[in-house]
Amino acid sequence: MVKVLPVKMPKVSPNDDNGTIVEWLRATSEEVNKGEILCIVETTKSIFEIESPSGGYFFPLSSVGEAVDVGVTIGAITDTQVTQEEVIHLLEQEEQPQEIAAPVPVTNESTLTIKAQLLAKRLGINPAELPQNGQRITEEDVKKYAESRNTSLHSDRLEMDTVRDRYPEGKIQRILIIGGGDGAVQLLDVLAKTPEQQAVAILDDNPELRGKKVNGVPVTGGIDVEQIVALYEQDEFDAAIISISTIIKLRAEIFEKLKSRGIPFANIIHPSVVKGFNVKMGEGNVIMAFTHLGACASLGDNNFISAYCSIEHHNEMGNHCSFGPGVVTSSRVIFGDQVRCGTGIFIEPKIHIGAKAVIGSGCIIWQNVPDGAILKSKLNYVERASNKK
Amino acid sequence: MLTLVNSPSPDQQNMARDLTEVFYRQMYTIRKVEQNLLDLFAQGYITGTVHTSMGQEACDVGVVNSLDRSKDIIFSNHRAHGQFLAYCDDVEGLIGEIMGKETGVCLGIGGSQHIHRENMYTNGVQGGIVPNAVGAALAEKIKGTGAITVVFLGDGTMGEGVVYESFNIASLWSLPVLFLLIDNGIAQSTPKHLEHAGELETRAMTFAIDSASIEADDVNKVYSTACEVVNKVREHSRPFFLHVKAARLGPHSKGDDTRSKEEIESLKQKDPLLKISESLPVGLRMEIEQKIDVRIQTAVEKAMLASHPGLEQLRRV
Amino acid sequence: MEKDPNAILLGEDILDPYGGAFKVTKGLSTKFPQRVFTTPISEASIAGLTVGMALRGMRPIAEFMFGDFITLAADQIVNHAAKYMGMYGDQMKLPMVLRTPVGGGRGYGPTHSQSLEKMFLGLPMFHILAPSHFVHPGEILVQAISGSYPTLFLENKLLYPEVLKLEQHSGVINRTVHFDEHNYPVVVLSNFPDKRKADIAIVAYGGISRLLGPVLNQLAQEEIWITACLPVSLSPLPIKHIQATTEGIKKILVIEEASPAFGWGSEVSAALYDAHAGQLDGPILRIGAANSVIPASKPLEEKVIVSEEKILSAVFEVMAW
Repeated sequence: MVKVLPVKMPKVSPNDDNGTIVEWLRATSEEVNKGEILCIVETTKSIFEIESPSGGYFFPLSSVGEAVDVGVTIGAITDTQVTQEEVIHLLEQEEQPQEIAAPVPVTNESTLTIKAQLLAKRLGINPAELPQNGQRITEEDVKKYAESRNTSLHSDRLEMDTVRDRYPEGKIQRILIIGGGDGAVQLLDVLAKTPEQQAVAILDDNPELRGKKVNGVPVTGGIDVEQIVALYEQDEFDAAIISISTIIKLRAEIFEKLKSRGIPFANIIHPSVVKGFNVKMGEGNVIMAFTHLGACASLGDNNFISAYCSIEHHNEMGNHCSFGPGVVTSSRVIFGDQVRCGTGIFIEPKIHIGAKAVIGSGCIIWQNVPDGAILKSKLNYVERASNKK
Repeated sequence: MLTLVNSPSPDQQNMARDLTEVFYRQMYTIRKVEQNLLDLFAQGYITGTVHTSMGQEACDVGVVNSLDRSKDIIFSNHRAHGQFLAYCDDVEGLIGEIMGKETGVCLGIGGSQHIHRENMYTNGVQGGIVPNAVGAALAEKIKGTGAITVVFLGDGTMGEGVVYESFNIASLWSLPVLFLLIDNGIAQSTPKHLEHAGELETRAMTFAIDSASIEADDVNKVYSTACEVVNKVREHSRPFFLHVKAARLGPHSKGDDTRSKEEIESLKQKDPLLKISESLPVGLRMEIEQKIDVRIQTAVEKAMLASHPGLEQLRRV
Repeated sequence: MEKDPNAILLGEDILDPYGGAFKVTKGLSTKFPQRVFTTPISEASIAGLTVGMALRGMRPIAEFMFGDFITLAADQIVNHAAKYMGMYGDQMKLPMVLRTPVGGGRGYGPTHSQSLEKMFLGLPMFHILAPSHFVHPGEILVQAISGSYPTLFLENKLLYPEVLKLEQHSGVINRTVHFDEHNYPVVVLSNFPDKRKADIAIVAYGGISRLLGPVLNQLAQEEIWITACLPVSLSPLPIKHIQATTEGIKKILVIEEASPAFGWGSEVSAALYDAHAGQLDGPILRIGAANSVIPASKPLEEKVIVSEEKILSAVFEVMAW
């Protein structure tokens, strides 16, 4: 059995990843002693010699002038005289085929370019339906396809208004208000104008409010799920509503907890709200004065919409969203869950607003907003000193 | 090149007498300027800090006069008014500078601790100027000008590590630099025994730097030693460490002297001005003092009237 | 050194045959034995000597073996080099250069891999330069030492073996060069034909250039068009040029090798927000090294410092806005 010892390109400096062979000092199959110089190698900044790691017959396997990466075999020493082909064959056997982890292509997995993917997503086109042409699909291809298809992305829903009025005409819905702050005052103001609903109690964790009354309605205790369930089982109220609008996370948590315990929620809608036909709505929503809900708009559960908002036709809103006054959307805007909008916001048609996005006051939204994004508008004005002293 | 009204006369015969007179002029000028600065500070005309050289005049004058003003280089620290006046006698420039006026030698931008004129540079950070001085000595050696560099250190500065790096390099590369330690025994408010282990006199010796130690009460003695040392540094292009024991008669800066009255009184016995004034005829002394008093008064009045520098005088970027 | 007899070189281990830890000074001590000084391990004094020599009319260049050691000379940089030109009320020049290799990627570990320039950015009368391999570093070094200002000259370790890319067009990448107020180059790269509009502007410097070539190539395949701006001068910041280059581009990505907190990218971003208020699609995204030590373990180091993958995913994130 012929023993073969590979000679590899060494690493001599932390700053070089390869070396170039300047000169072989030994010829093919020449006998060498251990420690004898085999060749001269040059890196970017230094020249060094490679010594023979043992005695035997030497076979140079790289050519002069070739830049060889550190760790790559540049020659070999054998213990018996063999041919160069044999040496190469032996080395191949010896060297386990290294499993080189193929660099994970970041983008090539898709036949669409990233630009094309983004456009397809924006237009609601499933990439699978795009015609294949053997090459990568470009932004231009997606545009052409969208033009050729010329179909609307959203199917028009012809569903009935499903606001859940569980109570027969004439029966008053008794409302439990959760949260005793400014939101409760707003709710009480609305409830004063909706004869079919009446607040019966307010719950708030602030002990200072305990035993006091807000607009004649008593604050009876803290926000305690068990107690609320007990109150419901004792038939003290018919439906709950959450008045907290600023801390969406809390609003969502309370809603989910109570829902899971079977507590029904009311929708509290100011009588001045203009509702188009086929508006669909879950429960627990609060909609303040002069808000407009366009035809076929749909709202999930537990949203809080302030005054003067306009939620245009075919908008789709998730759950637990909170809008400040004056949020105006165009058609077919889609909101994820827990979106928070400030005041004075305009949203262009067909925009997707991702879940938990926060849109600062004064933004004009004309492109999709990813989940969890925080948008802040440039509010720019000049403050001038008053002339009056 | 500087021209000085009171630089030493080359006339051999009257040399000793002339020198004493010149030294007294310079020392009295320093003392009087410092006193005026303290008064101006008390009156609110000076902000920031004023580190006076009172008590160290013999050292400042003796050393600076041993230099070749046309080419030698001085680096100094926060307490450099005395050396500056001995170097260039620019009373107006110094007072203007410390009052933050554009008539100051550095337009009022540098202030008390950051002054520069010709070949003299000062900086208020302890120790940092020492390698600068060694670098200057290296530059002059390469240029072959024959200039030497002197750097003034205080005993407090001997706590900075960069001083010893500089000793090492100056000796290793045989650079013509004179390390001049003015040891007044107190660093701001901390006495030397709370700052230093061992002796300061011998510290440079471990770097194979020749060293000597003298008292700073007699200007003639300081001058003659300094001349000898400066010649040696220049001739052999080797560093030298001269340890000068001096008294700090004033506070570190203003109102920060925690030493006892007795201690300061005993230091006043060593006042170098006392010693030199004895060797001059009273009439001559009065004449000198009167002229200098008038000169300083004029300089103060001029600085009072001068403008503060404007933003356009600051360099940026 | 051939052109100017006042050019003096100092640093640790820079004499032949060793020629410096990164071999940048190799051969110079043989050619100019009187003007190349190997120093003791005294960084503060090396910087201090450099300042002193510059004060006396020389043009000294000092090498710090690793950029990490520059903190040892912080007092010299801040209170001496950066002060002499300004505090004496005169028009003094202080031509001196402190050269140093910076950055990670070589497994040197926490104290030999950092990019500490942010500690000295914004110092008045003190310049910080970081050439990329899209400019000629030697020419810039000569320019710095022939100028008036004390200068910190940062050489990214990973750029040493790179081949300079100075051609106007290389594959899809186009390179143009502008010059800032101090006549230092501001390189602008793009990966698209002239008439298109960039999707994203990238602002970066120094060793990041090594990653930008492959990144720009790959992004061109994704139809993502990039204009990249690489100023050589980090401080003072040639902000007018950066603003002009990024003008009209809706998305901006700022990349630096150091951790981005309180850094160069923050300054660039703030200046770009001022310039492009209301014109941007989304926030300027800043990326850099993780805010941790730079680990010696190579695979972990790769996760900490900026990589092609990190830049690509940042680009995709910005594109999705």
